[in-house]
Amino acid sequence: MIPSDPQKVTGICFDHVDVPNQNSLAVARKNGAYAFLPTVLKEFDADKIIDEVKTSGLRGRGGAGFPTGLKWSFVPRNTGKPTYLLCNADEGEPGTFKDRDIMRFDPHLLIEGMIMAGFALDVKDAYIYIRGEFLHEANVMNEAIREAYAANLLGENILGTDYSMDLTVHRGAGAYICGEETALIESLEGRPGRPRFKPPFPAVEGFYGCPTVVNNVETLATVPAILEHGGAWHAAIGVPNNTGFKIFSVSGHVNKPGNYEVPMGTTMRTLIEDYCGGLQHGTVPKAIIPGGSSSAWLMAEHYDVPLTFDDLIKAGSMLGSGAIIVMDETADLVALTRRLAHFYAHESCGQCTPCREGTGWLERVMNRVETGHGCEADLKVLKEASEHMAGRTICALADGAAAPILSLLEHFPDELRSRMAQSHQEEQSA
Amino acid sequence: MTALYINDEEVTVTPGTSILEACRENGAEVPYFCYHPELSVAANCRMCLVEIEGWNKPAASCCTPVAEGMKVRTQTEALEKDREMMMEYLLIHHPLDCPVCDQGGACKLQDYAVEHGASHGRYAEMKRAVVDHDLGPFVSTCMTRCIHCTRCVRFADEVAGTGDMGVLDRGDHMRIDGIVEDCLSSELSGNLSDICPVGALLDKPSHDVSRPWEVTRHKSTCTQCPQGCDITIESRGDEVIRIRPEKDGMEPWICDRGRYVYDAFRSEQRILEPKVRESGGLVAASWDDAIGRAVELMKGKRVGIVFSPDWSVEGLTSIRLLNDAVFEGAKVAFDLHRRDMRSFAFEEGLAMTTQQIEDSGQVVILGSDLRQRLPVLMQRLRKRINAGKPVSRIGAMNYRTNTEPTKDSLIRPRDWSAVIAFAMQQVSGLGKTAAGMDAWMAGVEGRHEAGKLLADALMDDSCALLVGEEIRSHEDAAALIYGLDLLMRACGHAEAGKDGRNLISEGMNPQLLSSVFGDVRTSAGELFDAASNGELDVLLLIGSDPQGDGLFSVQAKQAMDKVPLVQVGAISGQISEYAEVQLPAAAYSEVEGSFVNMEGRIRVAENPLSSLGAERPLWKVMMRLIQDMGGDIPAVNLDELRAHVIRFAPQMEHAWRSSDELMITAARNNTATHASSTKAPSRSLDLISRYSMYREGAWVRASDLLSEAGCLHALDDVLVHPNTLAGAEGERVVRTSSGEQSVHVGSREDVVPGVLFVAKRGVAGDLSSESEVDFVGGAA
Amino acid sequence: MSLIKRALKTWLLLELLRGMALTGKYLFKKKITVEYPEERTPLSPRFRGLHALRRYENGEERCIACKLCEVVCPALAILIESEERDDGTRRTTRYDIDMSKCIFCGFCQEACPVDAIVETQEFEYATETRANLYYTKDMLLDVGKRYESQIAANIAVDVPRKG
Repeated sequence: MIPSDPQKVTGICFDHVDVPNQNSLAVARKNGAYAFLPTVLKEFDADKIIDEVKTSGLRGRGGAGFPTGLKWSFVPRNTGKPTYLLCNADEGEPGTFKDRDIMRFDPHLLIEGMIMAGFALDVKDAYIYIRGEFLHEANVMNEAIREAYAANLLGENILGTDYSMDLTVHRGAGAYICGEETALIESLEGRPGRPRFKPPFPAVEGFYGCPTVVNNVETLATVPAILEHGGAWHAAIGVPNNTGFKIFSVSGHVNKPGNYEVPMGTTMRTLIEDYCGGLQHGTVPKAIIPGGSSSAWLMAEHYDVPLTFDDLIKAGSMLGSGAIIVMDETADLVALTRRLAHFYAHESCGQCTPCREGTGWLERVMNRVETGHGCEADLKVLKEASEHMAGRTICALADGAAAPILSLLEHFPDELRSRMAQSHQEEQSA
Repeated sequence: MTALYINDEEVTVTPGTSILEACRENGAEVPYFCYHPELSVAANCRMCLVEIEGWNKPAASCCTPVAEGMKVRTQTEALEKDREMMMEYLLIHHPLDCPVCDQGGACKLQDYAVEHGASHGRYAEMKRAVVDHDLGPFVSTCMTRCIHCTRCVRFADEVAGTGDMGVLDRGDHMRIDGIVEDCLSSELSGNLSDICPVGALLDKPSHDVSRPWEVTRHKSTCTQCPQGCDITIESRGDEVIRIRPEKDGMEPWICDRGRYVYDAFRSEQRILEPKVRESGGLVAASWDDAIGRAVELMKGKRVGIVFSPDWSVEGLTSIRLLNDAVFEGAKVAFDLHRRDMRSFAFEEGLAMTTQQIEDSGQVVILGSDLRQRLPVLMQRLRKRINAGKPVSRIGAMNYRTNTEPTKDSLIRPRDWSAVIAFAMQQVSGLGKTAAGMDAWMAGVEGRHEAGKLLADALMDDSCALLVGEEIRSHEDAAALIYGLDLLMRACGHAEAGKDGRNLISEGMNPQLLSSVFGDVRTSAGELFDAASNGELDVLLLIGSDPQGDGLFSVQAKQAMDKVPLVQVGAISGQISEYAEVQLPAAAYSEVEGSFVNMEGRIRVAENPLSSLGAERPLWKVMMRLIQDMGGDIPAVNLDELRAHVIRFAPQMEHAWRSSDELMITAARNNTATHASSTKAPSRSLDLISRYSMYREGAWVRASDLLSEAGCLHALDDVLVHPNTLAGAEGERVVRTSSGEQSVHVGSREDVVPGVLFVAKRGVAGDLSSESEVDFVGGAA
Repeated sequence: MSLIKRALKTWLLLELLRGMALTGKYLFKKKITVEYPEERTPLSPRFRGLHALRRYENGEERCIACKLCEVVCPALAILIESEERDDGTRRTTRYDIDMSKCIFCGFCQEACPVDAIVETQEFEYATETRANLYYTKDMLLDVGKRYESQIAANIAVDVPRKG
């Protein structure tokens, strides 16, 4: 049970993550799952739920950090068209692995969150768009949904109320871009996953042209606790404007990599040293990717930055989905960047010119530079080609592709140059 | 209206306009590749970036709607750098083969590379190469040049409705592909080469022949169907290189038939010099000799004149003048598809413009293969359907439209009166009636449920009826059209301004023809019968090919066996084997003249192509004939001739003086009443002969290109519903009014049971002239 | 004074002697007159003489019928017609230059993207009739065949200068 005193809370989404068999309905119920759902369905109305979520200050956990309550309030009502709720479980960002733990260890938390969100938005059909590679998680989710249907938690007249909602798991086909909400909608409609331009925003014209809300798994899993304990309770956790807990997926050169749910505002140093057992080598990291591979890198001087959406933007990067990749002095950043360039070139949907051609170009130049066949002019190419991709495309994939290269060029140009020099020496000696 | 600032200049546009459109309307230059005014927005080329004050990054102007007070800049240093980079991205994989690319010189990529691109690229790695695909006889591909703007994909989805282009793969492996290889199944496929901004999709017939700067452009009117699209003929010297839709014309697209018929302009079938028959063959002769021979054949004889409606207004009037001057009392016919010569309640020609039809509340297609008959109008209807507006259809076959009509009903031609009667019953039940309706209804025995569809559509505020060839060629056409007229009047769709009674004509100039020839015309079938029976001595065929087109090929053949033939025209065709004399008349692309399309829109061509041989404009040939036949020449120049046109058709009075868009209207509200025929059908199967855009018309048959396309789009010769066939496909004996014959019959579910569908008119024996047949020895 | 001077000049034949001195000087100086046609002056590699159409070493004609020379020609001396050859390449079916129109400006060779049309150093092609100055594709290819080594050498010299 999550304590109602905000000071004593130790976790929201991961509160029961290590309870054995929490994925079965019986165990989950014993730990308080669906306990508050009847109250919500019977005593709350849409406005109250949206108000509570607004008060809670909950911001989207998928990466953009958009206030969830505000997003819900944008959905037009009484349009004559159905409203859809889509859960974005296409966790594809390199470095992120938080949603899969919620889904495989506590699927009922997500289902409960979706029922509550669905009730607030008058949704009849909700979908979980799950990453194609998450076969086990999809199986767990499906089993949990089956149990929920059997217990009348989903389907017609949930728990005897007037509210009915169907929930379906849809497995993706392995495209990173389908984590982008409009590409996810396209993919769910049965078309190739290619982002749509906005406006119109999905809240107005989304899935099959109907009002649609797309939320991250962690966001939806936070909703039950907010409704149970109130928006003010959630707002009291963390720091103002960046409230609640956030799961950080820490990987890289730390002694204890893994998922850590900590209150917003915890500093990077605390997270790495107190929770993750410190760095493998040295005392300060060489570079940190704070919000998944698409975010700009932080340097040692930002080691004490508080982990909030706003502070990281101030530091020149973003919190993203909370995937922290730590690199100590042994890391080969050129190789890392080359690998990321390959990832983005492979995952670009091909729609927009700069991203389609630019990601491939960057990858090829990085290949050349990594193997020591670069030249000084390549640095200019890398810089200009990345700068003019970012922000010029329909979705943010191009920004993500440009971020690591721009960070490398900004902070470690000498590392790139030494590669070139190295090869020139080799050539001369050979 | 929304007011915004473009480069500090205040402009106002309609709300919801995109910034790009606002810029285009107000003359601010914004480069773009993927945007096309007739297609949906894709926003993928990212070339149209503009800066908006208060936005932290440049915005794609094609997909950003304008907002009140927005401050847009289209020319800044940062944007120039962006455009330079976009060009660099695009040119990474684009081959440097402009000298051999047909698009070179008329290529957006080339223009923008000069305007916005850097002087050299920095990409040093391997370039991408893409496999080409065979997309049929009209479109040639070089996919390595593709810049993935997806205009072609959106065209195939939204305009052609076939969806046979698509995008495969992603990232820089992404490629555009024809999903149906070998042939684009659209009748509008030629437009693909026009919308491709680069040289990836090119015009196959004119491939590698000319360069864009070499061509001379001639504004003209296409006469291949009554739509009469505005076209630009591009020629190099006297050779036509290609035909394109006129840039500022009414329609953004033209069909393949109108586009590729130029192949016939120089074909062997063109009549380019006068010829006379000598010892069995046609040999070239001087104009004097040929005219002399024609006069010899016709002077003092009983003459039957059959002409094509597709000549210019001046040409057609000169035929009337010829008739009046020297052949007083001759039989004159021009319509090879009309069996019923009683006057129609609403005559041929549309009451609405295509735009009005597109905007109308309801559209009902009655018995027409509109995609083949009027491809461009069908495209308008497709646009309508895509926008969620209804289009219903009643007909004998599930004609392919590429975008399904919202409601559809299959009926046999003998059921038309029952359909109309049922609709009358429905609307009169709702209190709508017109004088004479009850009597008409009472005269019809049966009722057919398809009438519900018609009645439903009629209840809308505005309704456009498109009455097609199944009704127009019906033996009881006048009664059916009168019935439809009653219905339309009952439901208030006949008043001026909202008149929805559109009868699709056979050829061009329908309104003018009824004014000029209304009092002298006869049925073509009757004319041919008269010739066979010895009531006529000679036939004068002016551009008409009754053996290849129309419903009277049998009678025409019998007539031509009997009497000598004088042929005037531009294309010789099959009938030339009967011709005693051939006189060359100039093609529609080679004359100064006026044309009226089915909407009544007048177009005057003033910049014709030069003649290829000895051919002369039709009116000059006619004047010469009058002179040599001993008549008084009524006109010696176009002005005098046009005075005669105005005498017959006063509506044309301002056609040559005013620069305004002029429309003339078709005859409406004829007073004649026609009760439905009570004659019982004598045979079990109704026969419908299909109009095929790749076969119908002498011009088309003379074009190798269109014949090739016709083979790709061909159906079986004769089709019936499998239930009607009751047996295997193959040779079947068919009994007609003139005897029995064996034909190859195929089966298709698209045909309504009880109908024999002749897909290749003029090819499948002589069946197309029949309207009822029986199978011999088979269940029907 | 001037009168005396003039008389002296006249009587002493000074002008004549000065003139004879100049003549004498040139009598013994190195000769610069070229005895054409036995002797010839050297020509610049950029000399613009008779046109030639070139072929690649494998015998394939270079011209791709892009018609850039035709459109750039200020004298309208070039006439090209083209078609798609069976192997899918674009080729000329006709390539004529009317040498009586040509003003030897060299724009055609500047415009040519494949160095197909070039001007050789040949200038001795005078003919007896004007008709013979109308060069067809075959004639131009023939010129190219005759002068290929010279053309290639000239282009090789010229390339570094063109940059």
